Order: sequence, then structure tokens, then C-alpha cells
Amino acid sequence: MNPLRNLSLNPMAALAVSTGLILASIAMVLYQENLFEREAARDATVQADILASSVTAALAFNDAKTAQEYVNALRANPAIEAAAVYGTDNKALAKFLRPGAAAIPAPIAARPAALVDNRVDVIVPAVEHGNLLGTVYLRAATESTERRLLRYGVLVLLVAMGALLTIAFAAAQISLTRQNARLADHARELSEANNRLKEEMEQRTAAEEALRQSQKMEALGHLSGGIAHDFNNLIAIIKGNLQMLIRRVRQGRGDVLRYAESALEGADRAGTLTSRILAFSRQQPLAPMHVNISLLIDGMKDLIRQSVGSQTQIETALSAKRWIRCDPNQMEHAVLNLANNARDAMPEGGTLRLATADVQIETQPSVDDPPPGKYVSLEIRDTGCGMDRETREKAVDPFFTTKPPGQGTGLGLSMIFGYVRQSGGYLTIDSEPGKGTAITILLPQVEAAES
Amino acid sequence: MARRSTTLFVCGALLLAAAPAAAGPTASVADIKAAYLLKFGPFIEWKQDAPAPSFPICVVGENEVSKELDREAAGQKVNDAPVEIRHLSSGQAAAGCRILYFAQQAADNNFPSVLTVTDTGETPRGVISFVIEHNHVRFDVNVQAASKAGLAISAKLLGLAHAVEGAP
Repeated sequence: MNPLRNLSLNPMAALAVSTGLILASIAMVLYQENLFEREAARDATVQADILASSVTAALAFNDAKTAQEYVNALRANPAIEAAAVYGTDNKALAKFLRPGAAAIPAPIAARPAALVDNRVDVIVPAVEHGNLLGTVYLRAATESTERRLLRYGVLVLLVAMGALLTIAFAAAQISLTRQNARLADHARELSEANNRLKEEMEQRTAAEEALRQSQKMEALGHLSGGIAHDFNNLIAIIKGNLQMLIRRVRQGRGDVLRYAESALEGADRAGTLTSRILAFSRQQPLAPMHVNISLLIDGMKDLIRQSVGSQTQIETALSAKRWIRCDPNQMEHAVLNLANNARDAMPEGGTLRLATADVQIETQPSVDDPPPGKYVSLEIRDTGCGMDRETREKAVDPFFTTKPPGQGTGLGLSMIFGYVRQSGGYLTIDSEPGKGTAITILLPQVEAAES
Repeated sequence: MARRSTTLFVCGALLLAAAPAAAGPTASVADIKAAYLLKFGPFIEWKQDAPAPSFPICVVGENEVSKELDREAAGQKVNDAPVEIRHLSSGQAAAGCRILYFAQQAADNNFPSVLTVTDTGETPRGVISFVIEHNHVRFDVNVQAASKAGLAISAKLLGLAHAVEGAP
């Protein structure tokens, strides 16, 4: 496989073949022409010799009638234009001239056949036993030059076509060889590009792996920081209440129950936090049951109020009557978590609105939206700072938090999202910067009969 | 050969100037007969072909033809041999002659290897005998006599004959 060798050899061979063909055809034409002339001359000479041999006696005895009969016999050959028989006295004994043909020349000595202007003429001696008795002139028309050229033209045309075909074949082969070379180059380039791509992919995979590892480490830091902070807060609450309790006891005052209860509550919250972490880490199975969300929220009002603090007004609009099926404890955690988020979004205070409703969805704009059907909705709306688009899209990602390090795990909304999806529901976030945030949880209605 | 032919051709043209005029009113029958005697040679084959330095044409008797022959024969050649005219008293001395012309009545026509030519129309006639037809000089050929004399007559000559006699 040496394309250069093919490129250099094939056109030379084709050129040689074509040149050879053309030279051969020219040689053939020349040979044909020569052969034609010789044959025409020989034919005319033979005819003249036959006539000369036939008319010797007529010449000897001056028998013009017999001589004319022999000459007339030549009329049968349409190629013969003129013939004449001369005695030794140079007088014509007999002659024949086709109408329209050129005149018969004055007699001259015998001479060989000559081809002039598509006519061959010849003068032969009439000899009997070595006795010269006269001469015979004969002129015959040959095939016209035009006809001969046409004949040769066809030959030359055929040969030229052959030569052209050879050249075209060679050209096609050259083109093919070049294209093959180009294709091979392309294939090589593609292969190189592919290798580069593979390399880049490997590098990218390695970089992603490294990034994921660093993100994991960062998330772990956030998580442990957040947990430590939460526990610190709870420990501070328990410790503070216990200190107050001790101080009151030393002062001999009896109104210590409130502090003891607060400390206990702090301890309970620490326990709840622990169970949440456990739930997150161990993927504790849900314990779903029939739940009336309105009743559940109504029962949590005090807890929520306590959780969000006095700066936040709480409104409720609990119109949902239908039942849903979910793990009530997890639902409470979710509501509390969302309420805390709302509070954090309203550092200057604001309104937290909790609303439930029975809804019917008729259409499904996209596959990510809930399919048509009957649902119960729970909307938790604040009047806080809101989220921009980027934050909103990342809000449910694990470990994503807008809170300063140590204050949030980034797991709250992620866990709620997972829990809602696990319960066959949907969670939507409606938020714009400065206009507050509304988190809506949709869960399918169920028949109440089971409970 | 070509040169010699040309020379012969020119001489012949001068000497035979009268011969082609046979058809014309001034044509002499004797001229034509004399010319014919000089022309038979090429169309005859003598089977006993003795090498001869000349081509002897023998004449018995005398008439206008023999006189004309004497004049025309000078310098003529037949079959590449110069023509020699021999005047004989009778046919008995004809040995060696190629052609024997009887200017008078022939006593005999049986001469081996001699082409006898008679002119009187009386028997015995020669292998060739002159006749006059429509004022044209013609000749009859007797092939039987020719065969007897050991002669072969060219078909070309027979083609020109007024009559061919003795054919089998």
C-alpha cells in the first residue's frame, strides 16, 4: 500500500497505452492507404494486361471491330472510366470513354499505374511472343478520398475512444486513490480526536471524583457544625433553665416547675434532633397512617408558636376535610422544619400562614407536575426575604443551605422533599426575592374508611 | 527490351504507314496482305523449332504482294529474329522456311513445320488462305492442315479468321 507509487505509475501507463493506441492507429491508416494504392494500381494493371493480351491479334491484323468488342467487355466493370487500344502507329484502334469522364490522353509509351485524384491510370504494352503490337490505356476510378477518409475516420475514432477510455480509467483510479488517502487521513484524525476525547473524559472523571470528595468533606463539616450548634443551643436551654431552677431553689422559691418543664422540653428537642439524624443516616422506614392534616396542624399550633418565637405572627386557614396517608411524626417534623425556615427568613418578624385545602387538579402541564386527581394541599407561607431563581432551584438539594456555617445542615428541605415523594406527594416552591416564600405540599386524598 | 521495342515501334510506324489505311480508299490489298504475312509469326507455334538466326519467309512465284513484302520486310523482326525473304522456284525447297507464301497456285500444301499461305483461292489451299470480304482482307485457317504440318495456331488468330476449316 504505497499511494505515491500508484499515483506515479498509473498515469504513465495510461499515457503510454493511449499513445501506443494512437500511433498504432496512425500506422494502420498509413498502411491501409499504401495497401489501397498498391491494390488499386495492381487491379488496373491486371485489367489492362488482360485487355492487351486479348487484343494482340486484333492489333496485328488491324481488326478494329474485334478490338472494340474486347474494349466494350470492360464496360461491365463500373469502376473503369476509359480504355483505349493503340497500334504501333499510335492510332487508336478502339476506345471506350464513359460519359462525363475526362478525355483519353494522347498515346505515350507504356508506364506503370499512377494514382491521381481518385483515379488510377496505366499504359501497358500489347506484346505477343515478344513482338510489340501496340499499347493499351486504362483508367479506373478508385474509392473516393472522402470515403476512404471516412473509413479511416471511423477507425481513428474507435481508437481515440479506446485511448480516452484508458485515460478516463486511469484518472478515475487516481481520483480513487487520492480519495482513499484522504479517507485514511480522516480516519486517522478521527481516531486521534477520539483518543483525545477519551483522555479528557478520564481527566474529567478524575476531577469530578476529586470535587465530589471535597464536596462530601465540606458537607460533613456543615452537618457536624450544624448538629453541634443545635445541640449547643439545646444544652444552653437546658443548662439555663436548670441554673434558674437551682437559683430559685436556693432562694427558697417554689415556682420552679416552669424551668424544669423548659429544661425537659429542651432535652426532648435534643432527643428529637437525635432521632432525626438517626432517621437521616439510617433511612428509618416510614409508618404511614390515615391523617387529617387540618387536625394535625391545629394540634401543632402551640408548638409552632413556641418554635418561631413571638416576633412571628401565625395565621391558620385549615379548610381541608379529606384524609391523607402519611407518617404523622415525619409530617410534624416537616412542618416544624418549614416553620423554622420561615422564621429564619423573617429576622425582622412577619407573618407565617399555614393553610390546608382539598383540591382537585384537572391538568398536568409537565411530567414533573402532579397528575390530575384529588389532593389535599398544605401551604406554608411567610413574608420573608424570598429566594432568587438559583436558590429556589437548589433549595431541595442535600446539604444546600443559605444559613451561615454551623447554623444549618442543608438537609431540612431535602429530607422533607424526600419524605413527601416517598408518601406519593409533591412539593412545590413559590418564591421571589422580597415577596416571601410559599412551600406547598400536595398529598393524594384517601378514603377515610380504613381508620 | 523497352528501348528496343520503342525503336521497332517507330520503324514499324514508318514502314507500315500504309497498313492501317486498309479501310481507306487508297488502301492497297497487296500492302495489307504483305503486312499480314509479317504479322502471322507471333500467333503460330512451330513444334519442331530449329534454332534459326533469322525468321525466313519464303515466296513461290511473284505478284504485287511479294513485291510489297520485299519492301516491307526490310528491318522487320518476328519473334526477335530478323525477317529474311527467300524467293523459291517451287515449294520443294521450302525446308527451313517458317512461312511459305504462294504467289501463284500451289502444287502442294503438305510442308512439315511450315505455315503455308495461299492467295488464289484454288485448291490445294494452305493452312492460311487470304479471302476478300466486303473489300476487306480476311483469312481462312485450316486447323487440320496446321495440325498435319505440326503447327499450333493461337486461338487469338482463330478468333480473327474469316472461317476456320477442318475443325474436329
